[in-house]
Amino acid sequence: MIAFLKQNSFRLLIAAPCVGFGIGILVLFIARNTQPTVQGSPWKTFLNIGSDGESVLQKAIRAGVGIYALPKEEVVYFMANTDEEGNRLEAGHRYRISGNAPFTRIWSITLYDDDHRLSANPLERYHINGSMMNTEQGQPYSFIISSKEENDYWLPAPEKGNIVLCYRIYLPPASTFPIQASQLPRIQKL
Amino acid sequence: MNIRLIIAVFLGVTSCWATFSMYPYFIQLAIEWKSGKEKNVLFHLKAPNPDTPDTPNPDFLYSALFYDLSKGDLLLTGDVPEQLDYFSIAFYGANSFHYALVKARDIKEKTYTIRLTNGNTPTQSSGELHVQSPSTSGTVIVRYMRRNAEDHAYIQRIQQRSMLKQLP
Repeated sequence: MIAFLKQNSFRLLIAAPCVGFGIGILVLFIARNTQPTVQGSPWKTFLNIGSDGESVLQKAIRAGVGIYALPKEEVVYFMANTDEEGNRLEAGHRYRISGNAPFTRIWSITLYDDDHRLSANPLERYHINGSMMNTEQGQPYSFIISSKEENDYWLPAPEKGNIVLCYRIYLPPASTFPIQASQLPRIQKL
Repeated sequence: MNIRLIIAVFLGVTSCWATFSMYPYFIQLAIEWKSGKEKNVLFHLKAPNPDTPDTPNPDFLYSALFYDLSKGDLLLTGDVPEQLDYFSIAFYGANSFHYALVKARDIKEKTYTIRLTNGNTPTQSSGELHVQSPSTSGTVIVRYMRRNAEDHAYIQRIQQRSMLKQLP
């Protein structure tokens, strides 16, 4: 092996940057779906957006999955593409989203399709937020995600395909950190 | 160890690292190209609707700007929307990384004047905020939180009054 490398070292010199570039792209591709998960929940997040502790690789991944994000003092973002059992969120199923409203005036849960686009619907309802739920801080809330009309509070999903949820807490108070699973909404398949 | 092997490993690792570093620049360029927007023109994104639900976040109405400071500084002016729950102006460099944020609570007046610069600027005049860009190009995103139809109409009026001026 070493002898082969020595014999072909000039070719290796030419190939090395290409291999390095290829590995870089591969790592970014794989890392896109490996954001850190809040333990005990399906929610993934980047908590060090814009901080000095953010590595070059983390910044590159963020540019791909959440470009133009705001720092965590302004908004904390959580993404979920599975329910609490670990199964992929699918548009054909019904889900109950429930939790306690965070201790901030502004929060929302938005539904996206697999390409991270809003799901077109005639109600023009793309998210559920604190004022729509009319819930006081720390009080429980609950709503349904479904592709068919519901009697309860509900968020329309597309007819088919996978879905992704984004939970945003704006201007989070210091007590929000460290984030624990109990602070995050439950995602139960019905 | 053959010196060429050592150099090859070094080149490989450096290229991998360079890929991570350059990727955000590539994404930024791709977004600019895909948007079809001219540089140094402030534009307003439409609210999501059944035909074009592509607004990134329905909590906000957005104004945005892809800037180029090679010909001089830019002056961004507008009204501070006092009745909204959230308003901010975020600045991102050529690599799409956030470097400055002006929040409603940072502005004492009812209007704001922000001078975006990449070099030495004259003494800051009264009431004018200076934002120093780390690169000659980048993006500015103005976020207006929209909670109901009343907010929507109010924001659209505010957006129409915001202005961008190229300084010599």
